[in-house]
Amino acid sequence: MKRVLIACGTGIATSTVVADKVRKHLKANGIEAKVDQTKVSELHRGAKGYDLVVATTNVPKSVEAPVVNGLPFLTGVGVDKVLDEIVEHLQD
Amino acid sequence: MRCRGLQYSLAHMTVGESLTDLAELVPDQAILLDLDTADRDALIRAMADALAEAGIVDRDYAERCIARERENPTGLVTTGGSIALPHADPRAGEQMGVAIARPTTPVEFDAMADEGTVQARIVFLLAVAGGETHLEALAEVIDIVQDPERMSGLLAAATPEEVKRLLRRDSR
Repeated sequence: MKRVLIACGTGIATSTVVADKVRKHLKANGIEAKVDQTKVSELHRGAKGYDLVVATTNVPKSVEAPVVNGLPFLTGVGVDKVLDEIVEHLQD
Repeated sequence: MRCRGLQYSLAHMTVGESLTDLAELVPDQAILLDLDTADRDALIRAMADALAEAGIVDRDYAERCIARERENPTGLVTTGGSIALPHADPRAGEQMGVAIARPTTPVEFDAMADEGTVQARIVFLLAVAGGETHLEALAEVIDIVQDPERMSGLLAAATPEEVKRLLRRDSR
């Protein structure tokens, strides 16, 4: 199963909203994935084991997984594009 | 104890029980219309203190939000307008609540993810607590800030009652 990590400043507010939207979209697209949340300060050790990081903040360079900008989920601007991007990254 | 009703309803809410509208999480005293300040920290302080006054967060919530805003700013330009969502890590014993402010002149926030600055016209200060209710309320805040119609309603609202009406789900 694919693993997605959602990161925001506190790991509890904006990432909760983004995680929910990502989960729903992946389900709707038949992609099985485990979606976790974290705060960005935890990312200095990288994101080992994750196939994708969706972040509403800047992510340290130590993160080796591909990173997608999660801001569109909060602003409503460009949501479709970012959803496509996420699906693309998680398809085999 | 001006906010007894709210505390009662929160205390009796269990995870999974659905919260019908965001309005219940916003104490009347935490709706600050035409707040006359151009200073971001002063704005955050007024909002957080209103939630502290209502017994939702501790007295130092304002300082925690200000510190967090410096590190991880929350200004956003959404499909509904220019806003900010200051908040801080919750502490045990604190509850979920939302304060809403409409400054008389836009207040400058740094944009989330280092994308310049945002002249926020409406600010939602969030006190977060976790659980299903939390998710539902946060999602509702995001729905509102992305909705141009309800955002212009908030910009035009004359009274806290009007604001609360716009926060209810059936206002769409």
